[in-house]
Amino acid sequence: MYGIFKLIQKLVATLNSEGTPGQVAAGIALGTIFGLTPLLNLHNLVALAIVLLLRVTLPAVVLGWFISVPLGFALDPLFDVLGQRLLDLLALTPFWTAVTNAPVLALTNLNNSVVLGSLVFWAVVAYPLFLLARWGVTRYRATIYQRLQRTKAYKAVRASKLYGVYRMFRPE
Amino acid sequence: MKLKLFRWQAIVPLLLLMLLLFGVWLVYSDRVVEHTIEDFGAELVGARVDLESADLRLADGVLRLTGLQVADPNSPMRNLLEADEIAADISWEPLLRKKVHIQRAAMLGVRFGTPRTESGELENPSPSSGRLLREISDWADAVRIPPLGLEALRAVVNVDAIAPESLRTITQARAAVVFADSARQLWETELSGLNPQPLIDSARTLAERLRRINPLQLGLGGATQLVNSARGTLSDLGSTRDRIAALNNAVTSGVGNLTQRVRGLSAARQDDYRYASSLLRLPSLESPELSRSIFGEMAVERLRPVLYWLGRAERFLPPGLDPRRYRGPKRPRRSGVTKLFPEPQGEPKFLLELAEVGLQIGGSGAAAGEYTSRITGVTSEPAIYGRPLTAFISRTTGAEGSQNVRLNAVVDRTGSEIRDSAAISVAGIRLPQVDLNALGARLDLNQGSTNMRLDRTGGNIVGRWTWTSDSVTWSRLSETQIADTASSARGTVQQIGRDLLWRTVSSLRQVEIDVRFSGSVTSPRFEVGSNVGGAVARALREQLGAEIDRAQREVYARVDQLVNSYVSEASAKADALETEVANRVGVQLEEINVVRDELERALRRLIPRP
Repeated sequence: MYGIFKLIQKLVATLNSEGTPGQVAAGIALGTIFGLTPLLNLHNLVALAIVLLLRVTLPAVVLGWFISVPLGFALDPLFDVLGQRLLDLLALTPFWTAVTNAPVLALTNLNNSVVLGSLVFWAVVAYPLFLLARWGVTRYRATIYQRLQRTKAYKAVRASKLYGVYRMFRPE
Repeated sequence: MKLKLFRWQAIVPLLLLMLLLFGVWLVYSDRVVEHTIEDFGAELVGARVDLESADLRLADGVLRLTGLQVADPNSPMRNLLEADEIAADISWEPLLRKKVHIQRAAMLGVRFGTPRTESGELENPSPSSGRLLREISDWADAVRIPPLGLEALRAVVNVDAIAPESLRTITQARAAVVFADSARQLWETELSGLNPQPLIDSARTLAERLRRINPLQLGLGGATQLVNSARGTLSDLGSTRDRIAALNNAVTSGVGNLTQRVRGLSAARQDDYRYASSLLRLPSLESPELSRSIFGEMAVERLRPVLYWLGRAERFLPPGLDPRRYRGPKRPRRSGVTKLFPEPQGEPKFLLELAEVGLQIGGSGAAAGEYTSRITGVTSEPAIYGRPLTAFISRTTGAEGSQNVRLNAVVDRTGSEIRDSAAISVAGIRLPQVDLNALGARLDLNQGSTNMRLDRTGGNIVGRWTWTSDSVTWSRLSETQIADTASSARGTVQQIGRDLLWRTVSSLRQVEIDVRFSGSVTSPRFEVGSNVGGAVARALREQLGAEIDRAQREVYARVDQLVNSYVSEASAKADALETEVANRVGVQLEEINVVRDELERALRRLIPRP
């Protein structure tokens, strides 16, 4: 329970102040790969390494992952069809033959329709998602959060014991 | 402030994470291998494959499996194969390409047909396994095994049981009549539409006029007009003749078709005789038919697993190099489809170069002894490997008797066409007991020999399976032991026949059963030959020949009575079509030709050629 509370707290803090909007947006966009594509695959290990090595906001990665998990399940039929279409393209057969027989690359399961379809889908939506998330975070911080701070409810919450509890766990 | 792109301090945690994952892999790799083998084995066999443990040591290139049990898909409470231990030399480098290469494997403590404590049936069989089993069941259900019933004898033959609508002759005769009627209507309409008679009459009049006329009296204008008129008529006659000729061709072909149909009614009548005889369960007196009645069920049951394994080999040892599709891995998300892209110059996905199996069957039974086997070139992509799978099994020492077991098989899927052959020869071992419902008896083949030869080219198989024993014993089946398929053949009259059959077969000590099969892999035809069939045929002829002839005559007479009117009507329609319509069309055509000749001659007289 404490862990979940801490996580929610971190996510809210992420939207509000931690990192630049670009870092948060990149985290969200990269995080969606873990939810959209089947998790236990080699490409997700590579994605994890990228996430850790690049200065993206890590709680935003978790946020992106959580948001995209149900989306991934819901879009599986689409990924299956998309993946099969790509695997069936005669022009790409030499490419798939090379990929699926190359050392290490063969372990990526790119010849599975759902893995390939979801990965291609993520690759297509990742950049627009990044732009959308960056705009959204900027707007949120500039307008909604500012207005929220001026509301009586917000002030009441800040003055409440609950906020006192929240502050106890607030990262420094 | 310039934003830093890399988080260098994450390198150490990342390396630690990788180490952790590697540690997890080391701990769970054996479990992963175990589950992979169980899942793939189940997909391959179509039944459960259980493994007690797996021990993978990549550094040493060794894979050791213990306690392997492969359930029999055709008998889920038995194991097709059980092995105490399998040791394999495995290369680690192909694993990076998701390929498995085993240079050498040895199986120890192999046993066949051992009982299982729990069913080996798969809870969710793959669509291909389910489809294959269904196809084989459909084939087995569709195989026609003539009944060996005797209840129609020594009793009034109930010919009313022969329903007219079930007779092929009547169906075909009706179809012939419908064809004749519709063809007649069509041709008569066409002939009426053409209506060549006015043209013929006018041409004839014109020809007569041309013959009588003096061109000098007509003058140039009159002669030209008459010549043009004659030429126009000739042209009309030509086109009408072409249309009538086309109609004549259609009529000739149609009449020929109808005549063929009417002739085919004789063959249909023969089929109906056989069908009606089978309805009344009149036994055939021919040995092949009787052998099929007696051993047909046994042949179907023995051929079931052969067809099943041919089907499995079809899926997992496909010829050629086309990309192949399989169901994706099991996971909470959708499995999807995994498509394999074989590399023509590369390595196969799975390759077992050499397997040596030391088989020991314990005890003092006829099958007990030591066997040696050698299997080479087991691969999922034979076209890449370029060499066929070969298997050789031989018995080295037997516990008793002069047993001999040999198996030679070559499975060649290296080209685009499948070419397989297998020969199994087993002599001096205990053969199984067979319940022969048709005879109401159980045949214990005891010690004997069995040989099977199977050749496959493309989608067709040709094979022969024989069982021979000269020390058989017979026992009678009780009424409750006789399978339901033969239940309709019970009763007092049947008992009389059974007694006769029992007296005939119970004295036989030497039995030969010869099953020959050929045709497509999914639904082959088969014939059965046996000395038991010959003996039964002779006994039936001696004891029941006169009665069978009488019953058969009654059946034939009933069939004739039912079909004769239809056959006569069809024949009459065919004759009428030939004599009336065909002749009419022929006469019209002939008439046009004659009048055309007359007109041409008259025209030539009017315009003499230079």
